[in-house]
Amino acid sequence: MDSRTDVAGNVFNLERYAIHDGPGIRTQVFFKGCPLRCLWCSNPEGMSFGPNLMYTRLLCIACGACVSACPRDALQLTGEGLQIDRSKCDLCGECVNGCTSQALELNSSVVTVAQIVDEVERDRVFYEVSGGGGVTLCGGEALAQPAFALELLKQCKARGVHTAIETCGCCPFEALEQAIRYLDFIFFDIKHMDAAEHRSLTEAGNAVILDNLRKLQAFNVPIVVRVPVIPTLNDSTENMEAIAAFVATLPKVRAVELLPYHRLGAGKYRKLGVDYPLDAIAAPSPAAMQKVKAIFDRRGVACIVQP
Amino acid sequence: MNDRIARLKDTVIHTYPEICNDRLKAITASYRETEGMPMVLRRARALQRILTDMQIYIMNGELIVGNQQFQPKSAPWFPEFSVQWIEDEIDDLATRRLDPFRITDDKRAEAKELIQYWKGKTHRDLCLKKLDEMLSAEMKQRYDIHRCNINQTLGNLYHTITGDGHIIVDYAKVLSRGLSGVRAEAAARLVGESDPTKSDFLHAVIISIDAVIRFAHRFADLAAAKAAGEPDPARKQELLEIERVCRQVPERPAETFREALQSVWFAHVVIQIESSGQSISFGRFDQLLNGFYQRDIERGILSRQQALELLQCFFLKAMEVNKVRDWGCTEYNTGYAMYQTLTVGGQTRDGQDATNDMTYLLLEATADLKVQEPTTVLRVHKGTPDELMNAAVNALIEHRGGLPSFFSDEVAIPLLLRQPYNGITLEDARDWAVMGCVEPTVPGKYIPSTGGTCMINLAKMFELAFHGGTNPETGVQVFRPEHTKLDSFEDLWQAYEEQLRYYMDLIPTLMKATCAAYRELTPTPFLSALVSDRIALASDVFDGKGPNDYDVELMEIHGLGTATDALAAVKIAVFDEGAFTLEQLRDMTRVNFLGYERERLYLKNKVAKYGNDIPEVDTIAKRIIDTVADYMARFVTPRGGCYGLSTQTTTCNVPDGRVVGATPDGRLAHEALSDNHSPSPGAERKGPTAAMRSVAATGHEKIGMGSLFNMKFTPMQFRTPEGREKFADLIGGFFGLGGYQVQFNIVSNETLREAQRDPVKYRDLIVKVAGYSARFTDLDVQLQDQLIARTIFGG
Repeated sequence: MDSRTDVAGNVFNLERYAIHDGPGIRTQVFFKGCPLRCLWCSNPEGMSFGPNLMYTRLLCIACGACVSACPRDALQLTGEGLQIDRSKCDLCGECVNGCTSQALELNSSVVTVAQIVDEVERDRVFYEVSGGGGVTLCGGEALAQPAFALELLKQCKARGVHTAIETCGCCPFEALEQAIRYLDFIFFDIKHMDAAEHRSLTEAGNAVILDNLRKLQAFNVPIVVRVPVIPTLNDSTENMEAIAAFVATLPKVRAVELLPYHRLGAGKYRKLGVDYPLDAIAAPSPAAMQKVKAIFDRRGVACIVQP
Repeated sequence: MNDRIARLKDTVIHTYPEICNDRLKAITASYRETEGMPMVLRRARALQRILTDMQIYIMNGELIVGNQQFQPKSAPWFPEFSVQWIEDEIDDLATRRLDPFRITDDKRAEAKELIQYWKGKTHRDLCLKKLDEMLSAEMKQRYDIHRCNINQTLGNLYHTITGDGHIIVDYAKVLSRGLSGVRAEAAARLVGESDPTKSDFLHAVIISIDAVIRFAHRFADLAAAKAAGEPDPARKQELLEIERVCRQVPERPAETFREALQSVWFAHVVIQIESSGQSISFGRFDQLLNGFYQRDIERGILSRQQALELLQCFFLKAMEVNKVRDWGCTEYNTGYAMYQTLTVGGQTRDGQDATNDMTYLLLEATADLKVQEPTTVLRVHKGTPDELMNAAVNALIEHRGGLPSFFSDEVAIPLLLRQPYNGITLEDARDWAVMGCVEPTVPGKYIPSTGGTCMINLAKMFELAFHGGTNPETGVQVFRPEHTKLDSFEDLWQAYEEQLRYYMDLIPTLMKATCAAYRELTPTPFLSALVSDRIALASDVFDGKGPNDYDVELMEIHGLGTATDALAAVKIAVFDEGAFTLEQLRDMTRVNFLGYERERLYLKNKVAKYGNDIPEVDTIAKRIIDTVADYMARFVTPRGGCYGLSTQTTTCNVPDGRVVGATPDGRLAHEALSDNHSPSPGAERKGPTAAMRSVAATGHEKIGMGSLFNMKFTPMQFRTPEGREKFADLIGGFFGLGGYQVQFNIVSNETLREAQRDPVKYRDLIVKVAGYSARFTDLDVQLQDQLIARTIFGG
């Protein structure tokens, strides 16, 4: 096979010992950039395709090194910590280089497939001992960088590393079709069955997504559908009934995983200098989750509630 | 746990530690009477007197009996080892910051009076005398006699001031032959023995054994007396059974599970009374007990629930044992640590998986009881059933205080086989158990292993090498290095290695002094009778290794993570990146980075650290270990065995850190050093697998007395069975990489901080410290802070 390990892409995190996204112990590669803008997104730093400047006030020692390093005069130290004029900032990263306290970070870097594979290989013993561990591509949306994702999957597969992807499904089907040849497992998200609602929650329609999921049934790769449960936004009985009815028609879907809304991403919005859009929504109770699960149970769709 | 156990537990763990003078009174009276007699006989007579005179008790609900002192967690004095510290510290004992002990005014006055007899006669007096004879004039100048320390770098305080311990005796022998059988062996060996040294030892064994049997009979008498006045018929029956059992064992072979537990307990508690050692461990308890358990189950005289109850009664007896230490040793072993380790799992002597019902039962007893002694540990090998690993992980989560910890056969067995001067057999190596914190030894085959444990402060040594042999805090040149040129990392390493060799060369001398003192003044005939073939040899264990036993003497290197990070920081910041000159970096550390916070954070945050799977850094840790292990391999110990390196620190990383100024890794002056074999606090940033790869990469087979890796996880991932199974796989992966030992605190930092704020509410919160667990609130605040600062892994 041709090996193009010099293919590079944008990644904002690489997490070893990931244990919630596929079988065994895994390494998760977080791809930068996503076509959707889900209001509840817990990885907002993964939305944009380029880097973001993130500021953690708690770590800042107010040394001023960043201010003098900034060529565009976008930074100012105040009693409230560092003020970033994001309209002036062109993400050159000079301030980050000068910041030793790690209060300022650029949250993505361009890495090659070879670099990621090298990192992935390091935990091979853990993949093996845990029986079927490996790599999971997530993000952001991995398939929004299709060539990069494809090459990474190819390389991992060639080395006998189990591969999985968590996708929002919002991509040209060709990207999925190419990737699936190198995939052992797919997590596929469904947020809402109503196109208009979907658009208002994610800034994109759901036609392509649902169509892609239908088409994947032609391939022999197991799929788990993931449904975030966001109180008042998508947790209506009607929507969940519709998801359950749809999934019940899909032979390759092994189960539905319900992901209860959580607010762990809120701090990241602060670091990005963005308001958290869902301030008024609380996490669903375990009882509420069981009620949703019951909808899937009634249709005979295997359903797991993530803790 | 059932009501009986819950009540007993409450009594034991909430009894305030208090000093008891019983042992002091008895041994002083006995020593006064036996002056001029051979020491080994004096020791036996003293033990006899102690066991005859000391107060004994049977608590309500107890099924296993036999106490160390007058009430649970009460500590005896061991004046034969040292009394100066008692005189100096007794008035502050009740109010001291760490491990306080109550003492009544009467007892305090009595103790002050009694210790006068011992002045000039103690182990410490003799150690110091011998050191005075053995050390060169130059060394004598450097040797800080109060702290027993050279240049704040090499210390041997512990074994100049207290007993040895550090043993797993042959409990199987006690069970199979009874002490009367052991006594008969000594009596037979005595026939025709003309060497007075040998016959004295054998007589001492016989006297000691008779004393122990009578000690058990005292409990039988007490049980009978209590039974006579007991209104509750059920309890009356229990007391009569206690009486029956104590007349049977340890004198005769144990015939039931309960007798086996009672017999082991008597032998164990007497060893705790005979001498003031710690780390007196239980060996492979599942292997020892399973036969008795199965037989009783088959005979229908025992249920699983009854066995569990008896085990928990036994565990609570281990919780009752205590030891009062001088201030220095208290700082080294904070949290009333006793290190009574209990091993389960592993392989049989012929290499089969050794898991049995008792393995599971002991894990269950540990998880359910949730106390810190005994320290239950699991041996893991390639054939360990998944079911057992999962049971152990579940036990760890349920216990919440770090038990069990996990050890790898795949490292321990080759490690034992490669020990020089011992010639250990493969069968014996497979029979290993953990003694103390992490030390792999073979039950009943190893003589005590800390004849004079020396501890090297790797971080202080780095500091001296980095500053050209000058202590930056005092400006005094304490070491004249041959390597003064520091133009490259290799130069720095040579300077470091020069220091290492200098201190290692001193270890045999320090060790010789303490071993000789132990041999001369504090032989332990009862303990010796239960080790290897010491009766056939007619020789106390402190005489040294015999042909059929093994000796490894512990030496510790402290602050591996800090020293590695400091060396790496100089390499990277000065020699690779040129961020500073060596002199600039020295200046910054000299002023504790005052005015250089930006630079300090660069060193702390941006320069690679041990614990992140970075070979360039991990190699430095490996190089330190290899250098020490390879160098020490050339020495034979005074007891005829080999030195065993360990990276365990107990709680020494706090006092060790206090003497070390700021280091180039960004650590501030006097902060605690990294603990044990673990990376520096907060250094692990790439997850648990990366940390494990770093730790494994340092190599462990040369660490003859064991490494110890402390990890902290949030409780989150353990909510699901999958999370727990993957955690078990994580441990399996670490061992697959060549790791030796790993232990876990599964507790959120919020809980730890809350416990700092409200110590009363959290008084029963147990955490894994080093090889032992302790109540969090008993620990030095610096240690608490370090535990919080350690990276917490999620999942």
